[in-house]
Amino acid sequence: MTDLVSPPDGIATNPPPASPASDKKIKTAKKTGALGIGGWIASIWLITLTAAAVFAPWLPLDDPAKTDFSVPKNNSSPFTAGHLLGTDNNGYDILARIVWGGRVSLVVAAGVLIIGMLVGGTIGLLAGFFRGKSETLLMASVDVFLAFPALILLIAIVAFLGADLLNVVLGISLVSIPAFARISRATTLTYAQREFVLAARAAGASQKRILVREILPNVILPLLAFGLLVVGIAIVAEGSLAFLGLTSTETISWGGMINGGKKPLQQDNIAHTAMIPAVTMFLTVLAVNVLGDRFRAAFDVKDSML
Amino acid sequence: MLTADTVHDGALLQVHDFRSYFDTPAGIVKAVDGVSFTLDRGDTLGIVGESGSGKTVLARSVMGLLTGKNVMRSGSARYNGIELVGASEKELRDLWGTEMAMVFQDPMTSLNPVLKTGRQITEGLRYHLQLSKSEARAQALQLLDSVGIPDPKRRISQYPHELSGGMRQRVTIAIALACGPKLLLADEPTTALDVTVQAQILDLLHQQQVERHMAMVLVTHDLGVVAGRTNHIAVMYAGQIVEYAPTTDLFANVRMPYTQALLHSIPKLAQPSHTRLQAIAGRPPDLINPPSGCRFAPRCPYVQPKCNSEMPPLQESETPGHLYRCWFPVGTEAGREALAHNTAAGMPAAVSITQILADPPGGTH
Amino acid sequence: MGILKGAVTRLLKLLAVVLVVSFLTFSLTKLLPGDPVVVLLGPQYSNVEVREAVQEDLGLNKPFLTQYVQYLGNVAQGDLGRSYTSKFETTELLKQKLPATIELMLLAQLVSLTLAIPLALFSAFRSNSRTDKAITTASFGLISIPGYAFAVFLVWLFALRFNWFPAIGYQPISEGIVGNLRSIALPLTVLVAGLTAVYTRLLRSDLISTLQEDFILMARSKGLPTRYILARHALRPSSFSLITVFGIQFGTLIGGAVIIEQFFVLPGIGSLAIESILKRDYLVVQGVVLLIAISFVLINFLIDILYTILDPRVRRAGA
Repeated sequence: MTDLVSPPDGIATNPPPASPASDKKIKTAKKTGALGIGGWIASIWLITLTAAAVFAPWLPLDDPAKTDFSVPKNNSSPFTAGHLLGTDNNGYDILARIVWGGRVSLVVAAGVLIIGMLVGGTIGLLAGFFRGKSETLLMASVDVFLAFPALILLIAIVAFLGADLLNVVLGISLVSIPAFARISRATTLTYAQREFVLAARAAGASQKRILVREILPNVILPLLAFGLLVVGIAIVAEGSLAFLGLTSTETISWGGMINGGKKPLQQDNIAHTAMIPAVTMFLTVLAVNVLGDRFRAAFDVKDSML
Repeated sequence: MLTADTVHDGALLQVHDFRSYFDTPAGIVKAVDGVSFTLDRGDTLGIVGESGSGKTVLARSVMGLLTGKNVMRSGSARYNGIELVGASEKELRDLWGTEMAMVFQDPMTSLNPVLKTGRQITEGLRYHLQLSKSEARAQALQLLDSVGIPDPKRRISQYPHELSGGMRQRVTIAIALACGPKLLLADEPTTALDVTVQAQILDLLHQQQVERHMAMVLVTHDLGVVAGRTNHIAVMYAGQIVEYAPTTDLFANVRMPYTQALLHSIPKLAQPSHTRLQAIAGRPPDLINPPSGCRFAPRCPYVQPKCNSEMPPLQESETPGHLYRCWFPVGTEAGREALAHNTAAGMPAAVSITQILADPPGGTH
Repeated sequence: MGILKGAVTRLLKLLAVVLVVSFLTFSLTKLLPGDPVVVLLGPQYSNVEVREAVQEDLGLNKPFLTQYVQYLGNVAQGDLGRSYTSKFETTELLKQKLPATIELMLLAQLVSLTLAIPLALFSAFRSNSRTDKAITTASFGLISIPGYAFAVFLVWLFALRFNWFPAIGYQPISEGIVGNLRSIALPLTVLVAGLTAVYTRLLRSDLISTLQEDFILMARSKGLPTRYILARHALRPSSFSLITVFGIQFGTLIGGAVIIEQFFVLPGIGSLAIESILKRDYLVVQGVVLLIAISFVLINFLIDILYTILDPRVRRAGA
């Protein structure tokens, strides 16, 4: 806020109405593609990660649960012979655990996306379409959920029901359902009054047909775009549980790896054990957010709707 | 420093070969492309054109309000001898409000919804004239009264959404007049208003202009609006002035086919209610790659091969001060021949204008 | 008056939300496995008579709904029950743990807003400039950093490498403000980084659309200084979503605090929640959740009021 004398660029200059917006879009699209450079990098990262996670058992990796104490000091730096990313203080190969931890993140992401979209999406769709009592009920429960500390609920579920992966996925999905329902309802509302829906109604189409054929196809993409945002949050949430040591120690998870990395951090001031999974998780969430951002821009989901 | 009183010759605003281009990803939009005119103190100039003709951009960029990185202004616009093109934001800001002011098209959007009307009037007074809070308030009440707002004391503490459209436009006029500008740029001040309110606002502007001996540029798409209220009219098409004349002469001796077309697109009360309005066929040209010849040629009923290849200069007609930009002007032998030729060839635009000229609307009975 | 009536309706609605939350928490703790009597007496204790006596004493042998109503009645009198494990009153525990959490949250919100508003103003005013792009990219990156990953990094760098701040622990304000601030510097940074990024992004995008409004052009045509236009004309109409999210972030922050407090070993509500969940200390869990829900609902009630102050159009619609 120092140099305010020179002409402002963002402030109401109202560019000429004559500038053809469509041409502009085509041109930018040509320059970087719909995804943009960031979007491409993000896609490549996520595809690589997913592929590695899916095919982990067949990849030439060390056994993630096998201890290699041949390396010095129980804890070797990256680029040591035989261990590209080094080993942690248990002698586990970090690269192998990153890949296997990716499997957990993948399961969580997919599970939450499917359950959240199916359950939350349907609730929102019905509430937005039929309005009335179901909508009131939905909005009321969203209010309750917002006031309910989600992470504490999640911790309670995992603590009481057991810390296996299934419970973690179910817990996170449950917590994410209201958000999905809200977005789905908001999007449905905007489409329910559009001309093509009114036209279908006037043409005597049944409620079910309108809902499935006219509205659902329009709601599903914005919902997916929002879903990507939730995927990022879900990966972090699973990591949180593991980081707090609440999930099963047998599950290899990035959050758990960061948690395990705290020890060498304090004992030996060695950071890579914690930093490698931390950076991996950061890059993954960043990639998911970049893609989500591109999608939301493409489907015009406003941030304020979230 | 130059003040309003240092130059006493008539011209208040001299615009010469003024251009305003926008650098967009699609190319350079030549929104205003070589416009010249002069406005004397206390006079009114009407700028008329379709939407997209560059009239709003002209008004805004002459004043210097368009300042983005992608805006390129060139040529000259001198206010009272002060060159506005290339002036810094700070220099311009000293003129804005006190020397020149603007009334915008839509009073629904040009008032800040979260600030009381009073504040929106007084902030300029307090900043420019260094009035105290109570002085500014008294001044604002007087201003509201002078623009015909009843019960100003109540209105001053209301928010814009509590006022009607006409009332709001009166408030924006009060804001524009607050610091006593010598030049008022009114950008389609009545377009967004109810028909019944339009005349009231135009009359108000006129009355204030006379009282304050203020010059005004009245931008509109409606020739009817400027007919009785301006000294001169400039008709704009595709970023250029295509006809410029004293108001009475323009209506008496239309030269430019575009102006003729605009005239025929105005509904007249005298017309039978089902008379067809003569809409101008086609669309304004692309301002990124405008036609190399006459810019109106693609839509013109008088068009000849020459029009497509050579751009006509702005030339003076037999009446002094009446300028137009046409090879085959209306009301001349060349124009009549061109139209007859096109009509014979069956060109739709030419046929329909010939019919209208032969059978003037409203003159059938 | 209309506004008053609206406020009362809203308060009633909020009360309902709190009731539902308390009921859900209560049923959840009852439904989930884990017997308070076992918690209280230890798993080896097998004397049936003593067990029944304890059950009787805690009121656990009564029907579910009676227990809930009784609990509510106690809550209304400010009695949240006694912890099964530590024998402290829950209210006492909350009182002990509140200062750290409140300090952390308020400071985080305050610092974030103080940073985000000028950043967003600058970024929006010079949108597409290099500085704007740097700010936008940085905030996008910060949003994507998991708080605990960031925390581990900060501790490694500033506590272990440079030894500038303590890695863990909390020093109450009563023992010196400098020491107190030093002890919360790292957790605060973690929270502020994420919040500032969220607020900057949100405010920037709203400001950019506000700056395209006619009334901004009008304000400029009055010859007012840019700084004044940004502060007086642009900021307020752009702040509505910011305020809404500001309120919601209180909820998110409490969630985030659970991890941050646990990692930095801060004696706050978050670590109390985890400890009591792990110890099956139901009454404390219920107390914590209830407290969080009530604060969240109250804060958002205040935000609703702030909303009507900031936007005169809402005032009329509400009336």
